[in-house]
Amino acid sequence: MNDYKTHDYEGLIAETVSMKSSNGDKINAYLAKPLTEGNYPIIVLIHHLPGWDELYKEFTRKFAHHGYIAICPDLYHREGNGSPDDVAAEVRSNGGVSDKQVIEDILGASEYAKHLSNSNGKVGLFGTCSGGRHGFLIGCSTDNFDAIVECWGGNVVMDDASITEKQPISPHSLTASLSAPLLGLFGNDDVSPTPDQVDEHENLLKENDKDYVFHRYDGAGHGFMYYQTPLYRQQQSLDAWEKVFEFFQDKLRS
Amino acid sequence: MCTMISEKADVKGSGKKSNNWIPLDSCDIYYDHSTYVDCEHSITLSFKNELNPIDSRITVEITPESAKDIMDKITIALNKGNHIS
Repeated sequence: MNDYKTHDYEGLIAETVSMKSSNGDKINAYLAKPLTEGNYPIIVLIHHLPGWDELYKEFTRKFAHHGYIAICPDLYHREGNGSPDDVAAEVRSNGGVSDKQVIEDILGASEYAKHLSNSNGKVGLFGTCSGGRHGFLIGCSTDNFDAIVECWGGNVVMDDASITEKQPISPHSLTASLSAPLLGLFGNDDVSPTPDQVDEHENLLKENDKDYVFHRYDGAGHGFMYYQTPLYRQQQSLDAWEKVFEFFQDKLRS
Repeated sequence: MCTMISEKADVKGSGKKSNNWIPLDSCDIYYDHSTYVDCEHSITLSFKNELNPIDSRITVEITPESAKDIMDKITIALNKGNHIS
């Protein structure tokens, strides 16, 4: 799944950094990048509703291991500090974070990484769950990104009852504005998004002649790449990771 | 994405965290994908004190069937208590 051979030198640094959101707020981010010289593409990871947790830090290091500068901002930084699941519970209790703020934080993370010396300036987005939704929303709201991976983004297709002050627009209504190639990964047993919602999402991409690929897995539901949960599906997850790396290789290194 | 199905209850109570009892005044109840318990969706009860909502949290995650059973047993216990009083 990567180009390393056993005789190659491998090294990466992974650490917490302080970065500025595009709105000026200082927040923390987890940064992982190769130690070797090179022109590496950037991946901004958009964490899921369970928070800025160990899984997302492992995902961040995984991208660095595959030759990317990877940065994952703490979208819940302003809610306080504590164990990730306790912070996430408080965010949930307060109705989540606003879409506007997430977009600003992701733009800030992208700018931070672009200023690192070994970046090639191309930026991909990767998000699961609420992060998948945010990835698609950001791709429709900005033109700052070169590739987007949306994993089981529920509430991309929102009904009127789901609209809130913090989530004021259903992302699918912005499909015409999508500015980057999209890879979508979904489980056919998922209930958020349901297969019908994924159909609706895909039909709008087709109607608007967007550059996209969807892979929809049988025998998998929500979160099928979360190896630390009962949701994990090994074969589907391994295939999905291959699709992710092939997609970013094509869109960010060519 | 995760469901965002979340309810909040005002409570007057206390809970044991490590070796200390602490006052609790609120409980978040949510239905979502489970974190540890082996089922697709679970009910989480997350008690807290609003003065220190992150560090005070005392959380349990149970299957929906367990939640229903507990609800039934609480009702039975309350009824028995009322009968005694």
